[in-house]
Amino acid sequence: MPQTLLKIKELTKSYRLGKRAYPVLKSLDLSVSEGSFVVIMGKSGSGKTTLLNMIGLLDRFDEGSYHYQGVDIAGLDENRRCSFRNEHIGFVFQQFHLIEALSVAQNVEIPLIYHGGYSYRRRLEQVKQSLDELGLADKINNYPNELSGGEQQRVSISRALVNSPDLILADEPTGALDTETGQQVITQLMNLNKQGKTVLVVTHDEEMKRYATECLRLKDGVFLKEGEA
Amino acid sequence: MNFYELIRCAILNLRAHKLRVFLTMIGIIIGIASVVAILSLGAGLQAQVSDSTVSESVNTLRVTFEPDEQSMMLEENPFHYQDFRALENINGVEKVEQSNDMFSGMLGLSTEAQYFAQEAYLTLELYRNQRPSLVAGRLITAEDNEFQNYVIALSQEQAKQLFGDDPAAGIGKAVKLGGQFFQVVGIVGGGASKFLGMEFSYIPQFAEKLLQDDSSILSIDIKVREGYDQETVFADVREELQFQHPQLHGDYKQEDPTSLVRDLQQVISSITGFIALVTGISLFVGGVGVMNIMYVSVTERRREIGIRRALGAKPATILLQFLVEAVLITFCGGLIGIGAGYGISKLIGIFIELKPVMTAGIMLQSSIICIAVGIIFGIIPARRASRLDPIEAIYR
Repeated sequence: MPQTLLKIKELTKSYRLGKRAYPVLKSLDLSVSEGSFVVIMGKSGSGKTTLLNMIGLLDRFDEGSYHYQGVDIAGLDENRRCSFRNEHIGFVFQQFHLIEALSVAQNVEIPLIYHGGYSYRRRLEQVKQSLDELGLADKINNYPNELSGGEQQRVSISRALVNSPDLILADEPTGALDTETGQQVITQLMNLNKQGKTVLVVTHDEEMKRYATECLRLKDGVFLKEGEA
Repeated sequence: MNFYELIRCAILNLRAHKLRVFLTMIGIIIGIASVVAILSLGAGLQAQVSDSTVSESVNTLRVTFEPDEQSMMLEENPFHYQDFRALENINGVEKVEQSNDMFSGMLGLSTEAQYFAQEAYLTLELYRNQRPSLVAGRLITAEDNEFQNYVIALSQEQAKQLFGDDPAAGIGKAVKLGGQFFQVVGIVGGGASKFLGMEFSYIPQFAEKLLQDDSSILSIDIKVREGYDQETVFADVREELQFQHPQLHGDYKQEDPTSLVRDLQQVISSITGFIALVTGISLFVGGVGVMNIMYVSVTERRREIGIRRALGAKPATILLQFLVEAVLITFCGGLIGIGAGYGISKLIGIFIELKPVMTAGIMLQSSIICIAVGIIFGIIPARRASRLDPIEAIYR
């Protein structure tokens, strides 16, 4: 029986626009086991990106509890949330979100710099290793605008990986790519999963559910039961 | 994130906007350049003045005359050359001289010289081993002064007025200056004998009194013999001078030989005060420019800030990153400004005959100023960057 990595209970979040509050997530329960490949599907506006940001402690929820590796992390202060993101989470965004002014190596190095305590040589080694894993060893000194979309997404996966997080959170990782390169990115995420990383993907790409150990559907802020469309 | 990494990150970011960064620096460059220029000229002036004044021996009394407030015009000159002999008879006085301050070498802007019917106006200087270029004959020698030879080294231009187109023809002739004949021993040309377009003619130092007008003596230096109390000697000197000049309303004062330096320092510090104001305005404008560009940068890099936060940057780290960028802009501007300022002061120095001095203190002072400007004007945009909500920054 695999260990539970994270457990969320009755998570509620709403956005305020003027005087009205729009509920985005309504009393959600979610449990993710270590080493699983979870795909959360849903149309845009279903709240899936919001959920992902909650899990990554990038956003705050209104109500509910959040235990990560058995520890209650709902009440961490901002600095601890930053450290948590740095050490436990690897973010992969739909639009890659690389920093244009920095080279591939410098982009991948960022999480290590914010982690602190690594020498430059050690960081460079980890950056090389991480890029090598995604077949980008020869692009190390290129700049993002010199790379194709697929390559940029692989750089962003390298960046997510470099600090050896437990959990990769990918928000529509194939959304900005054509089918073929999208497939490559999925394969990379699969490989990471095989190496023991827990992967959580939100997408509306039906292809993805074939690889999932668990597939959840989100609609209007609640998970649908099996068989519901 | 350690200091080295902050600097490295800031350089990487600034490198992406070289022109913008340089344009932002200009205000700081101008501000710091003017600080450095005025400070190094001030230091140069002080060094020059102290060289000529403070180095004089400690057992010298400087005596000046301070008129009463109600007497606008002096009834007569407070010092005469005749006084010198009387003063030298006072017990404890070794020697009396006209004060050798900055202007004492120059005797008069135009002294009339005659050679039969020809006339010329000379700018005279006492010969103190200056190095004018020699056109013909010789310069004044130490023996000329020792044996009180009435000789003169005439400037080329004035020699032409007296002797016609071949100035060398004047050598050996005698010209009349202030009722005294001087033998022309040499003709001097431009070079060191030129100052503000004037050409100097030189006479031996002993001839000073003969040519000088009493009114030009503003103060005298009295060398006190060793073993005598300066206060007592001054009291006697004062009494003697009052006896010699009974009709004067005012009093003779003992002046600290370093007071000229102090006066100059006062002048310099008031000039510096004014420049500081101008500089302050310039640095303020430059600082606002830095602030503006940092605001633009924060707005442009919203998404980057969000991503960095997602990757684990703490708000304080973001604040430091932006602050270091602002300080780096002002600091680099400052470094360029220090170089430019020193260059400007050298250039000005050529025109006003002053050697500017660059001290470690000036460099440190201006470095601190520009770092402070960076911090003061960089902190507000940096705070704004650090307070961005990561979600807002990434998705909106």
